[in-house]
Amino acid sequence: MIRLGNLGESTENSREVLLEAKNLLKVYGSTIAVNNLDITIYKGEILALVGGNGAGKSTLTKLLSGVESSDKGSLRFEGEDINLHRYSPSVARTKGIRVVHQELSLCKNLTVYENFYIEQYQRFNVKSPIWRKQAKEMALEALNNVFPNHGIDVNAVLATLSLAQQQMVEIARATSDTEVKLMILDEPTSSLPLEQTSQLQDYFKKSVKKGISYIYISHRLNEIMFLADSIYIMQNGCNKYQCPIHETSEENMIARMGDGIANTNLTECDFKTPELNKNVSVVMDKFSTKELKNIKQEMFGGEIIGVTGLEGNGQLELLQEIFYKANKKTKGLKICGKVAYVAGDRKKEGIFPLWSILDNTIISNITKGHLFKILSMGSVKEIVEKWNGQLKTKCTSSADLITSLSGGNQQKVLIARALAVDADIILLDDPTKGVDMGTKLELYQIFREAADKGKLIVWRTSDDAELEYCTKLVVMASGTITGELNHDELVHSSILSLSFKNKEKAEKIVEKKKTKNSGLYLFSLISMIFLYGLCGILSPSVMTKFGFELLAVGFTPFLFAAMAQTFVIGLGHIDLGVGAYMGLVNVVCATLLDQNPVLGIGFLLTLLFAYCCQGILICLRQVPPIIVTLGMSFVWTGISYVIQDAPGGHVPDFILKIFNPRNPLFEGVVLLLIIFIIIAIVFYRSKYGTVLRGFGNNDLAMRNSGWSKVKAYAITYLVAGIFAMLGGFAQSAITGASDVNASATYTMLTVAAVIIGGGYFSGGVVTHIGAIFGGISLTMISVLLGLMRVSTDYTATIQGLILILILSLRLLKKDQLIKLNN
Amino acid sequence: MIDDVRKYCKENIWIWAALGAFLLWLAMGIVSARLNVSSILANAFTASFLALMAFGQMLVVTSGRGAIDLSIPGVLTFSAFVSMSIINGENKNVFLAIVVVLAIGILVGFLNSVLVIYLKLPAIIATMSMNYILTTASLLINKNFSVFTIAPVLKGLLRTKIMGIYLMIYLIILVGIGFWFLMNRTTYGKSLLAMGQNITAARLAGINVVKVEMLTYIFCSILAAISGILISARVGSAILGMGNDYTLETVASIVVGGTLISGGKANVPGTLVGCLFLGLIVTCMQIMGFSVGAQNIAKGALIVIVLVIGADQRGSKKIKN
Repeated sequence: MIRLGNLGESTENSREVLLEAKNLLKVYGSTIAVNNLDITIYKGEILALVGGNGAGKSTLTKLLSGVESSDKGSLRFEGEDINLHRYSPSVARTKGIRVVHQELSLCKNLTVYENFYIEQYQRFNVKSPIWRKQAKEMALEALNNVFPNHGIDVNAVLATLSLAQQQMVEIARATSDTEVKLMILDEPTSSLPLEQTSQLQDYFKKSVKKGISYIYISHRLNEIMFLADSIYIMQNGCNKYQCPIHETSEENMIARMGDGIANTNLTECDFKTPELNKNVSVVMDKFSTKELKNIKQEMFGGEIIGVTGLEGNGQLELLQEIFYKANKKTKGLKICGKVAYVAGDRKKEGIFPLWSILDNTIISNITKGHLFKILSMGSVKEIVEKWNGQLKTKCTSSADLITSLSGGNQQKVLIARALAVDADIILLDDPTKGVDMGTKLELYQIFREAADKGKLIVWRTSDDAELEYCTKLVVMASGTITGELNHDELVHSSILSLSFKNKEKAEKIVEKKKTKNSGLYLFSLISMIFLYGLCGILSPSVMTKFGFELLAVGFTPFLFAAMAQTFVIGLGHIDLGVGAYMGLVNVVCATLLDQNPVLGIGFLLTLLFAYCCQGILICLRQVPPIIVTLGMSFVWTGISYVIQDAPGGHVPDFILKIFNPRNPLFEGVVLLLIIFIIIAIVFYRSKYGTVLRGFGNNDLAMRNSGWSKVKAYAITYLVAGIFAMLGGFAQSAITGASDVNASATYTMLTVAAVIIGGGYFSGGVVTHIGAIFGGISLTMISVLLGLMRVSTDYTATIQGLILILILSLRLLKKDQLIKLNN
Repeated sequence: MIDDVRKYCKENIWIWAALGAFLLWLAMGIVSARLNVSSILANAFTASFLALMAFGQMLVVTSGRGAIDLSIPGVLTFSAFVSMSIINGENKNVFLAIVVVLAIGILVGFLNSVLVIYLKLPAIIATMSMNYILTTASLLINKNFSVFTIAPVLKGLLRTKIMGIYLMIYLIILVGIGFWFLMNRTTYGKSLLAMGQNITAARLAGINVVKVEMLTYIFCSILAAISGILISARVGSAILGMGNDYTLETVASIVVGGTLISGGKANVPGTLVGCLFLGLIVTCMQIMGFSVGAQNIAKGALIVIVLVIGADQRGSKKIKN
């Protein structure tokens, strides 16, 4: 590998210490994640942090960046002691320490430039709307700086970008900080195309000359050899080995990481002539699906087939098609043998976190038969012990929770699950991702043994080194198999050349993904106008000023509620208490506020505070918002009944005056409504509104950027409470008296309004204007039904059906934003 | 030893509900100066109606991803109206009514599951809409409804006592044992628990999640529909809004009983205890002369408080995934 020799020497000469950590200790329960660790980083140095899974790398980065606080030890940065008790991600950032996390810490519902703002907010001291311009410039400059010719539109919503582009944004965002002195990168190149990887490496080399230091975590040892100045190997939370890069080699690193298990029993000849077991087979002949095109391939038992090519070219789809279509008759696909799937993303697709190792191992066994088969638990334990023994799973008891195991051992359990069910075809979806080297080698051996027993292994891998353990290799590009290599043809250069061959196609995919996402609320606008027109045809009086006024008065309380719901759904929650809350406000208006204004106002403020507390509770205790708001809805209704058990009372004059529907149109309720719509929209587009939207999508990223989650939740519920309260006032003004149940149906209708207005339940994608249009549409539906002389009994049902219809229609529309939560 | 007790209590949250129920019974006895078993048995009788539906809710909640069946009141009320209309106070019609009501339960559950599984609606939206539709249907029947007699068979079922204890209580305990068996010893139960924890993993482990989820909603609706017959027989007629309290009460009782609201963990004995506890709270408040409003406040607050105290961090984090 090529190295810039003079670079290493220049740092040797000016060895100025940037960060010095001593005796860092972090204990989680009974495991010591970081054990009395010392680490020193010099200015202008690229330090590669390597180690197996569970070695403590991520914990160390968390300690250094303030995400977690160290139990013991000291940190010195630029010769200054850091107070560990007050150390947080935002303190770290002000000192110039930044982290690029392995899991992308971007909010996918925000635009590229908004993502720059939420993380670099300390650099913005200008008022709206100038901050937008500034953020856009900052984003563009940063992207140009690191990735010339990136082709990313800074106005694009993140979800519309490809994974590689998102990672580019993430990296560029970190580099845009001019104050940065130390950057910690956790697997930054895992989804970057080749060109961007080399651009990034160029950037690192340029910037170290300016004195910026890097801690670079990667499992790609060749990258480390090329890039780093020194390596720091961790094992079991300790520093195992540390040296300048020119004193080590890839083999040396592997040896030290894996505790010397680098020597494998697998010799070349094991792979050359697999004995084919024709009873087990996957035969594809011109097999096509949405993602796969015209695949022709035969696979037999005894083979280990590596599925490779650039990521995202149909490899995953191929595995999943084989798995899901195993028992179905599909054109062009014939499968003989039982299929099992081993997921590589253990947390998302593999383990059942509430269960023991035992239950996790045998789940595929016990769910084989029909649904009401009675299980015998005795035989199960034997099976589990047998496989745990064979796979050398490190656990004290199979009754322990699966989550108590390290990643590598969890993976073994998942493989045991596939083996225990006695599958003939085992599909491996990158099973060694994030697994340490020693376990990896054990797993390779297990796969080999399984193949020797006549099983077919289909193995998708993102690590090219693993292809050497396959008997055959299929290369995929753009959803089809473009090449097939036997084991003896597997030279590194041929894989490399195949990757290059596919590169053009891969970039086309990047381009293709850039779809526009505008007019979320377009549908609701059209439906509103259409319904209004329809009403106008049926009854021309609707079109008159008086008719419109009457309508407006009717839907005002509901629209306030819809805006309240918009804020809550924007956070990814659903508020089931908004209708009941408005009813309560209505009752308070007609009773307490009328009898004793001071007491009334005090009570209303208390209610507002209580509403806000819902958000705080949901955040602090991590309880599901649906249940909290459902429970609270009964509390609100209960209070209403306690205050006044029958409709009645009198709404004070000042409320009537403010919301008076008898005033000319634009002096009364509609004007107020419009003002608050504008306030809501402006607030949601403001700097803090952007933060709230960010929390709706990725609260971990927001917290790592230094924003308070409690505050965001509290403010969201407070704002929702204010809007719901305004709705309650409007309701009071219209009825002139109290009626607990007048707003009871609003809860469902507001949800419907937000959804019709283009909102999504997840990912902070809502628009207030859409909710307004959606709300008006729903009101128009009930007006229309009235005009058509349909009994009001049906109104709620029809509105509910329309909600179902709209949500269902969305399925047909292929929308990028649905993927937000994935 | 103490650690073991602590661990057991932590895993079986319903212990606290049982303790609460006991204390409430004690308090009630002292206040009314009549400490006897019959008061708790009377409560258990009331709670057994709730328990039947709570089991259904437990299944739906266990299926995960924040699922709650909000259509229980709608199913209950509608099936009450339908069964009362069909039976019309005569024994010979009871069988037909049961068949029709079961068909309603199966149909509603099936539709709910289709909305959730194939149209990918969030469960609360799907079931809430379904609830509106059923409420409208009840409203329409109510216009020409005037049945106020109960079939003797049903009357007998509700009044029969064996060894001084209502038959219903025995039955509900039997149903409870059945559900415990279903959750812990059958493919369906294990699949449901797995699915509630991680639906993708469940699918990739070879579980037919579509079938499991569909059955779950159907079970829930069937139980609500049967409750419709029983409760209307107990109340003496079908009344609009008769099911409205049960959404919250079913959720409250399973949460108190230690079923994880985010799914993947169900507790059958806990559900029974939770129903009893909830019933006692209501009775207590009635004795103390609390209004309906105050009872609502207490029920709502109970649910929030139990969630806040018993929040399982790992469990609730999963909701977002």
